[in-house]
Amino acid sequence: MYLRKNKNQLSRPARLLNRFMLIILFISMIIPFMNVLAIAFSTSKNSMVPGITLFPKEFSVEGFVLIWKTQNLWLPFLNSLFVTTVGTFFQVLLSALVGYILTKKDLPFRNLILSFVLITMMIPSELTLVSIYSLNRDLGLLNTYSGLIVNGLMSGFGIILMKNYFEAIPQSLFEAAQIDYASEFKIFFKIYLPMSIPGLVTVGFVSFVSKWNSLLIPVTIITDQNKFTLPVVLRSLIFNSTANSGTTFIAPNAIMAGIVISVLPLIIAYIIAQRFLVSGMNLGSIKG
Amino acid sequence: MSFLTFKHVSKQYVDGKNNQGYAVRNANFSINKGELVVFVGPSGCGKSTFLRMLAGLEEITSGEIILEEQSLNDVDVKMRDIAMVFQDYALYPHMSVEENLSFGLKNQRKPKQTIMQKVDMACSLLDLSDFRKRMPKQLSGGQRQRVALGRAIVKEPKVFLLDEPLSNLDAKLRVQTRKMIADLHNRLKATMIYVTHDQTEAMTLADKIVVMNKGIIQQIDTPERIYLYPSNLFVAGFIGSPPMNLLRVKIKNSQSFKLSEFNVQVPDDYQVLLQPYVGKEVILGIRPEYIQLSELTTGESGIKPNLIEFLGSENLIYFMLEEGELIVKKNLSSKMSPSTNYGLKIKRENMHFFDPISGEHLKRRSSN
Repeated sequence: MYLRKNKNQLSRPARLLNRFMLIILFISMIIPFMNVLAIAFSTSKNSMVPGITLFPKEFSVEGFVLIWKTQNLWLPFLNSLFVTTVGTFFQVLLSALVGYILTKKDLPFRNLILSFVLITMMIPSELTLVSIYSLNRDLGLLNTYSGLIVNGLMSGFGIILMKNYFEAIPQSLFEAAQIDYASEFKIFFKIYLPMSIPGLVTVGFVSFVSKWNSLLIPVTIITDQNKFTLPVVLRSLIFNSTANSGTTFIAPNAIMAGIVISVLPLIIAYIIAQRFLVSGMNLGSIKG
Repeated sequence: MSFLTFKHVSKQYVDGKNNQGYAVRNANFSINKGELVVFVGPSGCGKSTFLRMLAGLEEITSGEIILEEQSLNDVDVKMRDIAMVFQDYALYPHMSVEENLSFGLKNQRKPKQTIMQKVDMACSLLDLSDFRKRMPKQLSGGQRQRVALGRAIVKEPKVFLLDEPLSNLDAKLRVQTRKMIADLHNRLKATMIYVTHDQTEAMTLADKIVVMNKGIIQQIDTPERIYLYPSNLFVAGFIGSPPMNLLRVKIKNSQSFKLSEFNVQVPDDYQVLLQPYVGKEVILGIRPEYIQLSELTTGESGIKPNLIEFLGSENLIYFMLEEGELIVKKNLSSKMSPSTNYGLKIKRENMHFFDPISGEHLKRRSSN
């Protein structure tokens, strides 16, 4: 008995092309990452050999020890962790609140507000740097953790994603909760938020990644070395800056070790968020 | 004073710039305490809007809703003391059965012991005790519907609103749940308003039926009276399965009229009413079960059916007359022959006549 071929199945050449493209994509992503890992776990001598290395010739963690000792990475690491965690928490909360309010059909100027939210997604952040600096200066947020947290706290993407998520919840649940004597805040916290966990995790993850990797805002508003975040320190390492280290040369294995350390929290965040991410992203794309 | 009164209640929708329409138009009626009132009508007739207005989920455009002598117009949803069972159950999917049942009571800040007692009562009443810790997704459709009913019961509201609660269930479960709702109504002696488009549900459950069409109440009466004395063509055609035969006949004189090749005598009580229609057309209404069939021999003139539907305990015989299609229902547990010639005899006392323009029943028209 022959099994009938599924109509949606690709033809053999298309499948082969598909796989070929996937392999190219995979290689283009995995090779730089393997190169970083290989150099990070090499000795300082081996790390200076030119060319692409995929596996360390001699396994060593001296780069990690060196970077941790000489650069005192604890402080920027903790700064980044603090700013990113607090910022992510508030961004998720605010995105959900604004998204929820925007689901209300009788909200005055709803479409206008929605347009403003969309506009924020279209303007490149580089264009706003000067005004961000002067605004932060006027508000006294330069060189403060509050400044690092407050800037970029509202995200158009997060708001739109949460709005779409909430709109997918049947209206009858809202009405049932109203009849069950629940206040608007109770409906939001007890019904809508628990039913939107994939959306919240998606917004949280995207926010965590962007805040953890954020370089523009810290570079713009922070000059105090004690408030430097990890990306700022890594940037100065990569450009071999002596501005904050006082040393003249740092071996590539130490720089790459710094990058590996900076990537670890993202991998942990991904492992936690992973099972929610697909459904969260999908919903945003379908409904948006 | 009635328990619940609708006074000149209208709900107008503004759709786009100039399109305005009435979901409900000038509704006036009242409901007594403990009654089960069923709103029935086709989709979009405004029956669910009634429930939503009463629950406070829709604002009324004009008129007044009065519950226990208190106007509800400006009363918030939470303060109305009303429970609603939704068509899609509207169970909170992240809460267990027990949490679903107790959510409203917790919001009312009732003592824990009271909450437990009420949840226990609802669970035993609805046979949900074994599912208390389950999540809604782990329940069947019928069980979910019982949880939705339980959520209403624990609140002990003044009025229960049920919005097509059986429409998502399969036929067998629908019958079971229908019986359960009737039983609950008898036990709780609660005032219930039930919305459905299924006339069987309306006929079997209701103390009083409200038939609606295009936002206007067509008739409010007991199920028997709605069936036997429809007030207009819409009610006559909507209630009953198969529906009432409605045939356009010409009145020769106030004593008789012609139906196909048969001469039919006008009932005595219609002779005066039909006087103004002599030489004109009226609509004759007759239920399929009030037409008697007689099998004729080959020589006699009669009519042949063009379709016979055998339903097990009865036959539905379809005839095509000049005046329209005529359905006859005959209780017989064997299939009748479609090739036989039949003679028709209409029970005169069960005839109805309607005005062809207004659609009103002539008896009702004369009493107005």
